[in-house]
Amino acid sequence: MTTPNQQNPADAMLSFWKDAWARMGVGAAPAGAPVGTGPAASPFPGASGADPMAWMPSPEMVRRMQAAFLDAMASSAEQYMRSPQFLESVRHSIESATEMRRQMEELVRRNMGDAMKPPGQAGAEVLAALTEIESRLSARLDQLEALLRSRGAGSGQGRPADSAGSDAATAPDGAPRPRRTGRGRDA
Amino acid sequence: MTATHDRTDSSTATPSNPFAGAQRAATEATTAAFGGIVTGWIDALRPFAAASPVASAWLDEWKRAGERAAAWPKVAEIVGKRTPWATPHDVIATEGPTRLIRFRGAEIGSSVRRTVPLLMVFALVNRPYILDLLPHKSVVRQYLRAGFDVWMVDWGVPTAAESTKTLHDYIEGTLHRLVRRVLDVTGQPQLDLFGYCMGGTMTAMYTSLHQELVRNLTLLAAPVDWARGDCLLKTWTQETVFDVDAVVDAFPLVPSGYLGTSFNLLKPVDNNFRKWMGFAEKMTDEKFLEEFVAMEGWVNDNIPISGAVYRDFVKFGLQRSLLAKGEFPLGPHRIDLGRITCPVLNLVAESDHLVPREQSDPVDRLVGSSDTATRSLRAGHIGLAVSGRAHQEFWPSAAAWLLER
Repeated sequence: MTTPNQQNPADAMLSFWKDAWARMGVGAAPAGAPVGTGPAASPFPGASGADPMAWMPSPEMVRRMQAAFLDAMASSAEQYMRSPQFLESVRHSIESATEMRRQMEELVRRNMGDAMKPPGQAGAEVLAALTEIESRLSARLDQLEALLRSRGAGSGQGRPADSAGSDAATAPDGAPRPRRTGRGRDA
Repeated sequence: MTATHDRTDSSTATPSNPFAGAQRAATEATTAAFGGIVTGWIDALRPFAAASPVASAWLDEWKRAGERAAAWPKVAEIVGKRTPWATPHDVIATEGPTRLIRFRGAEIGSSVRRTVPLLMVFALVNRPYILDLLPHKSVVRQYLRAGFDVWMVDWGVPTAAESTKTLHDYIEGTLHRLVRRVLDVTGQPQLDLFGYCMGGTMTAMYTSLHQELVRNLTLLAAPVDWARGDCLLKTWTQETVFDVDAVVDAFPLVPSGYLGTSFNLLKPVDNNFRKWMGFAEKMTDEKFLEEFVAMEGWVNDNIPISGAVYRDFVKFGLQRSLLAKGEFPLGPHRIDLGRITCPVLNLVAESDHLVPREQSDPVDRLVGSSDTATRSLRAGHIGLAVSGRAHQEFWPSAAAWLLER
């Protein structure tokens, strides 16, 4: 049992072949006669009795059969492309194509994002290297500070000139200097 | 500053091959030898087939097949020689990928007898050289020979930068600037507009907004009322089936392959079987080959289209047919074809599978002009521009109509 929207595929196939054979004029041939030998179809009327190759369709007949077959195919294709089944498949194809496009764009975007940032291990290494540099700089600054203090004490001037501003550092023009926020590892 | 183009400097020119001559000679010799062998065999068999008309007919058929095989080098040669434009022209202005072309009528022996320039506007989905395909199949040359100063808008191949360009941008922006340019160069206050297919709809919209600049309007297979007529394109783009917004959101520049496949599927048997069988039958005819190759080149030269334009055309045209209702939105405007008051010539094809004539016929009812004429031809959508019948009577008559105005 089928509804108009659930047509049996065999019906469409049967209808196509019936149409094709009808267009080829097979119905005009006597029952049991070979294809293309019907009186209306023969390109050599009257010659079939004398022609030893009369069983064979002529090129013209083949061409006519071909044309009839294509006519039937064109008509079936037109009918099919208007059918609810085809329209439904168009809808699905478009949905699939747009979804695939969306997923591809998402994939490209994610990959691009990953490509822009360093991988986890490299990040840790970079951070460790920066921390190491910071430690060495801080240690060097401590050494310099100690050196200055010792020289200041030796010359009897007390604290070195710039160490007074180490907590409220100011530039010669009065603008605040960037403050060192820590020494060594914070973590 | 203008750039000049003749038939040999086209974009499809192939790079020179120093061995081309030798290769061609070798191929010709091989195929000639093959053809000779086939013909020799067939002639040897002929006495045996003399008693049978069917066998003789098959021998003739095989002989023709041998001749066809021998014609392949000629096919390759004609494919290599293909050039998209038949008539020399100058590029007067460019805007992004768009070119404004002026044809050199003097080089084909015609002189300008009508000072009002004629500007041809083609659709955005194909290349415009279908109107100038071959010297003997050129609508451009028909008008040049009639004494017109012929210009054309070649929209070019849009890039991602044009994907957001709307129909309003194309019509009120690019087209309007190019119309102004034509008028500036020629010193004329008005021009004649000619639009083909979607280009026809666009020129009708333009004329309704700038009637003062348009002297006459010629529309060729231009849809204006999509609610009428029956065609597969309309069936496929029904709102319940086709979500144009989703397509355009996913593909801001609607790909040329998608459009080409859609057009191909409108007549799948003709386009994929019959055409090639016809080609195989007639490929020994050089004139046929030249026309076939030119036509195939154009058919496969699809271009992408801005998603914004595609959305407007599908949604407001094919799905809702707002132009015929005077409600087609174009930027801040609503297009009212009733504002067209100049003479209008409507050219339609009786067997148009893309734009059924029922979709073009209402033009004379929708425009406000009292001087309208409709001419039809027993041809298809493309046959209007390239069929032999069209070039014998149809185009001379269309040019004569315009000359009188």
